[in-house]
Amino acid sequence: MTRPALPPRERTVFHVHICTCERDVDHMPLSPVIMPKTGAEMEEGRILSWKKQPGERVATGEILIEIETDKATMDVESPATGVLLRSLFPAGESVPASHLIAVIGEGAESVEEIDGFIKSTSSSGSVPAAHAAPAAPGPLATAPQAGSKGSELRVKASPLARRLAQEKGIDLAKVQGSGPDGRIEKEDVLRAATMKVTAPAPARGEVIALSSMRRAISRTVQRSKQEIPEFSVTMQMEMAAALRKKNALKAAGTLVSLNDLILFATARTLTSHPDLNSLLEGDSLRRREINIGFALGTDEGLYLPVVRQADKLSIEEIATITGQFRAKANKKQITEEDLSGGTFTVSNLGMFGVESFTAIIVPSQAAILSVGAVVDQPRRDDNGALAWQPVMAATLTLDHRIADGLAAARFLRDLKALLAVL
Amino acid sequence: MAEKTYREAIIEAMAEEMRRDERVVLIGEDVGKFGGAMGASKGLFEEFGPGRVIDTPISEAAIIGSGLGMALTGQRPIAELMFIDFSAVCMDQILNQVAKVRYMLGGQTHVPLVIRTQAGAGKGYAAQHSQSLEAWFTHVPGLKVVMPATPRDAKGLLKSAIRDNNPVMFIEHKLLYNNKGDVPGADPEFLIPLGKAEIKREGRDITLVSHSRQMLNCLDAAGELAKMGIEAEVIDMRTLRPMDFDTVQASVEKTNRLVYVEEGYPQCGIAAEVVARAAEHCFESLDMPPIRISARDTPIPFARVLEQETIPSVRRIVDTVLAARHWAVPA
Repeated sequence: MTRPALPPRERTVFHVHICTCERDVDHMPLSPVIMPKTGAEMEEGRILSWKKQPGERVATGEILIEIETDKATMDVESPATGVLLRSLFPAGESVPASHLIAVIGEGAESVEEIDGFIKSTSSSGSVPAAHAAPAAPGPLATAPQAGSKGSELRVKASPLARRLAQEKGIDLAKVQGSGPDGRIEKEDVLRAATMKVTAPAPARGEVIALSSMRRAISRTVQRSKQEIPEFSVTMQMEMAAALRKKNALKAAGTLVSLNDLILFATARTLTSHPDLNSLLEGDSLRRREINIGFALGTDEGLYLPVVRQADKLSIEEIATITGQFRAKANKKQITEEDLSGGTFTVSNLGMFGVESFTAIIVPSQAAILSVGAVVDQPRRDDNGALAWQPVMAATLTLDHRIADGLAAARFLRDLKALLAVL
Repeated sequence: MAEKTYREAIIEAMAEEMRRDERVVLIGEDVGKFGGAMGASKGLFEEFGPGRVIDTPISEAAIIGSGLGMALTGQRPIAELMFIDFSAVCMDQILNQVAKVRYMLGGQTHVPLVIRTQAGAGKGYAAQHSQSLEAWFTHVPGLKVVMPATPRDAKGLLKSAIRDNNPVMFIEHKLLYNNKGDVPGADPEFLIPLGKAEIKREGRDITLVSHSRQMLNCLDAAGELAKMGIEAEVIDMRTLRPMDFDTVQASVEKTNRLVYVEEGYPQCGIAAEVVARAAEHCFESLDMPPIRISARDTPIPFARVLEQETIPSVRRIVDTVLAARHWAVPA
């Protein structure tokens, strides 16, 4: 009897699965390096230099890149330990804040894997506010440009971080996460809470809307300060002659103010210094007639009425015109035309006892003269004797694009000379 | 206090209880004349004789079946299974008889049986002699499961297990028998209660929970992490069923981070149970997902190098903790 044939031997194969329930240290996830948003207004940063090259090993905290923002230069640290796989922008290039600029991994990743990571990271509307902390970290980064994708992007945060954020009233969208994949953890929330506490308390108290005049002045002076590279030069004017002139005119029945005399002297001096009365047009100066505006303060605010062709007027005529302006202002009848056409401005705070100050140049003008109070100062006269002299500080604030310190000094010297012989 | 080996602690526990109560008997393969395959009953045969230290045939079903019978008829037996891997042979006895009898008899009797066995890898005993199967028994209502890691715990817990009127699986580890540790001296009433975990090392940055030999690895890992500025709290579960989760919960609420390290297989192990409870009870205290570190999902290899790679090591515990998050450690 033959034995029945045995069935063919089965091959037994063990399937070995590497446990994935623990985070397998041999396969770390890719880490994004993003351009940090260092402040609410920061739009982009410029990469100055790469401290590490693709292929080089990097450690968490090591300086990776030097960047420049409009405020400062700073270092960006590596968010992870591994190998710098790819840097997306060369030195010299500007990158928008929160944009991906590099990828760190283990070193053995395929090109497809890195490409895929870059694509998925960039396409999610924004890069998760993640690891690339600048050397001075600011967890209260403004929310990344989630915009329309905001509802799809759930903020990554641990359950503990969520609870703490809720307890402390922190908006998770504004917190930068330091955990894997940009996950917000307890430390991040606590840091945000501390910063929130140390931020200045919101202003309390009555709210007063600015008047339209105030708003207009506000815009004008802001523009002036932003656009005009100004500088100032101060000189003490000897006012004895001017005071004598004023008293003489008063005795003769004509009331003039010290300011009228200053306007007169300024206008005449400007005839020899036409640059300071010019309009800067691109790369040229346009000469123009001398129309001096002067600061006139009322309860409503500050007017700058213009005395037209002031260099052709006598002191009395100037006094008449300024007097008319003052009356109109008191009756709120100053017109737009009264205030326009100025080419130079004089501002006087002497009546309040101010000794000197620096006014702001009116846009489209080259300079502004700020004068203070007449103060008695000890001076040596020609015989060397000490005597009290009435002296007034005059500060010329000048647009440096148009003229320089020498021009300012000459003007003030000439003004001083003219005031001395009124 | 005296320094004793884990093996000596176990022998002492059994000897003291056998002296105290004549109903306590020991049965198993080679437990008598040979003194135990792991030497864990050396001297007992000489002291108590063949009536109380019984060598059995090679039949796990007979060992447990007899043990159950003895327990039901008034004795307090300790039944030894030489390797936990062999429990599969007598699983019906353990699962369906020992664990169920009291319940099914409506409490008319109790089963004061201790099943002593040993588990674990690291001696190159290969796939059928190196497993850690505590998860099987921890699953079953009607059993208690104890796994000591130190000589002190072994003695105190074994005495308590012998005095317990319920079936207790007392699972030793084959690599621990020669370990030395402080054991309270001549105090026959030194008992450690079942069902209480112990904090073996205090810390505030992360909680490492474990049992048996891997708990010692956790202590070593905590030492290494401490050098890097990370203070790990190490909890020794000691009793797996009933499980003391309160101790774990208090720790996780303090550290906000949980790691369970065990030598069993990864799927459906003790770690899975602890992590599930953490998700249920400590959800809002967790600052990162809980981590399970276990043997790899494979039969334990015979080759020593592969065996070492398969079971958790101090290196693997440290690396896993470091990779878990960006630790703010001092430079």
